[in-house]
Amino acid sequence: MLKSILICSLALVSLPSASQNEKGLQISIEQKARNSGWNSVYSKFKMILENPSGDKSVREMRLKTLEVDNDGDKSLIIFDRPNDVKGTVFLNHSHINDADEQWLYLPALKRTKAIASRNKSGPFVGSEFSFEDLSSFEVGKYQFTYLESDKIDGIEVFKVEQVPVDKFSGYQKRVAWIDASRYIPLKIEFYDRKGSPLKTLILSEYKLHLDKFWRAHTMQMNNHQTGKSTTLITENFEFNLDLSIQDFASRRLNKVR
Amino acid sequence: MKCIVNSSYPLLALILIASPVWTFEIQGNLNLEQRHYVSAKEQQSEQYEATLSFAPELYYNHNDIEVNIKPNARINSMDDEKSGFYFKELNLAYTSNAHEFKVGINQVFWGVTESQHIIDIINQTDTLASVDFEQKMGQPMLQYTYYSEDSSLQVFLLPHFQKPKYASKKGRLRPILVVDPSLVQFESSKGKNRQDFALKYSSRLAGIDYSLHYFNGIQRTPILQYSAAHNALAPLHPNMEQVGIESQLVYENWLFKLEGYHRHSTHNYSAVTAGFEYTLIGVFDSFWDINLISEYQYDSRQDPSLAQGQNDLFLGARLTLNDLDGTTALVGLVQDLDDKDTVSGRLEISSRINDSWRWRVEGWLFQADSVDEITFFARKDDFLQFSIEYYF
Repeated sequence: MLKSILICSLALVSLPSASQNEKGLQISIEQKARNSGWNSVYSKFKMILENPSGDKSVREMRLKTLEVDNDGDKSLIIFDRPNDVKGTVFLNHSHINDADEQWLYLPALKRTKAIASRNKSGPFVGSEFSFEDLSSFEVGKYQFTYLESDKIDGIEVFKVEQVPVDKFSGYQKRVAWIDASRYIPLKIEFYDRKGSPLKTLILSEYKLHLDKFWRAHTMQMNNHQTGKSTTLITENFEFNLDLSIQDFASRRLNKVR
Repeated sequence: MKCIVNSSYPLLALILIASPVWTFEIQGNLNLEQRHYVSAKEQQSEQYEATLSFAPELYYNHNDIEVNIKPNARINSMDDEKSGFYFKELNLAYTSNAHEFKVGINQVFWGVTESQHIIDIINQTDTLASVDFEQKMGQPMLQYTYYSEDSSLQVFLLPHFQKPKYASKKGRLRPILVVDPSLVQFESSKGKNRQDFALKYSSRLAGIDYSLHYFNGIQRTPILQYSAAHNALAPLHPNMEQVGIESQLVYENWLFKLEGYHRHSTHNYSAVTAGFEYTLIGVFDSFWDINLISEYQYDSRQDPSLAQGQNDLFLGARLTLNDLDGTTALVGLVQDLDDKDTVSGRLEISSRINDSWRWRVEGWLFQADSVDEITFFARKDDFLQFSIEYYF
């Protein structure tokens, strides 16, 4: 009797209940639903990379993203700064069930190269963001557990644990603080493959676009293990561009400007 | 009236931001290379060489019309033949949905492999610009491309052949006898103005990207014949017909690549380069990435004086540090499997100084003991090169 109570209580501590999983999933479905239907978006952003010693380096890029129904988004990143990578284009076709496909266009050689990297956990352009962090949020990419309700700066939030399904993910888990009324992430903690705290992302300067879509204009990523940080600042987002699947074709990367 | 002006200003501003009718861009780089040859050579004892090159790039577009201008200028301290000017691009393009027309001088890249580019034959290679043969000269052309959902068809009309450049007696990394460009001969009665033609179809089948091409034109690389009258090598450019293929498959961290051709020229022969690239992310518990590359090079011409890569193995690795300065290192080795004494190797390290400047160190070594080998002439041309590059 005592033994079975002990087992039961242990199970309660270590295993999330089905209702916690269900609630976590429902929050995430709502989060995705509220951020669907934007079709296409263009933004110009910069990343400020900083070392613990205070050395700074700036990257400037433009991002075009096309929403794809029932699959991951297609996105193009065009590099503007530093000057030696100006004109380089990075193309990603994100998929929910299959591996993402990636290409890099090198303007000096006029060559498009496929990238073979199932593992997207490496630093993107030397920043604290991995490509995995920048790719679109898809419900099918995680298993969810609702942890508790919390408050950030007086805002009611849901704390949700997100465990990546992809075995090539750089993380064991993420913990996201989701605004309980707007369903947008305000903070995400990342844990490395060994389960140690790795990075914290703070999303701020949220603005409402087209009366429907919230976008964070400032994203600050701090790496706790290295002391390095990256601040991603977006001046503006433009929606509903005249973009089609053809604009994201790997064979047409030499046309991208 | 005042009201109309006030309300139309934001609208006007919105139109200007949302739909730019034209754009103009300028960028480019200035590059100073200093090369130190390890040893003196019988014909040329000078061991130091400097090259200053300038490659600006202008781009203008107005609706569906684009203009690309990419001049390339170079001054060399050792060999006047290495100094010069040409356009990599000087063209006008029109795009309408699935159709693209381009007229003028242009550069296109064909191929997938890393160690050499045997099917990249539209443009002439600028063999004097770099030892890796990655630099191309512009080719005058009329280019039409049709894009469909998952494939493309390209048609090229190439009206004017670009002759290769050769090092003079003062230069290094050249045959023991120099090539005299004035002795050039063409098989075609129209000479360099023969109307060359090429087709390329690219698509995807079962996850494999592939391209098929047909080329009918002047052979880009010459056949060098000894001219006793001039005691020099005379370049001959025969006509050739070529069919070829390139294909690539991505599987997890693997990239499998193959390219090859069959050619009817002065005689018939085939060549293939095939291999893989494997990506390792975060090696040694760091942020470093390593790409391992291995490629096999085959050429059916068995005479070693005619071609490199007849039965050769390329092994290479690219290291990316993922640091603030974008530091990369590349190491590569080509081993002739028929002759263990014929090897060439390279090492290249490059990093950023700031937003506009980059440094690069390159080292090359060439080993060939047999006089019959095409690379025999370079056996004393091992060098170390330091470059400083300014980008704008």
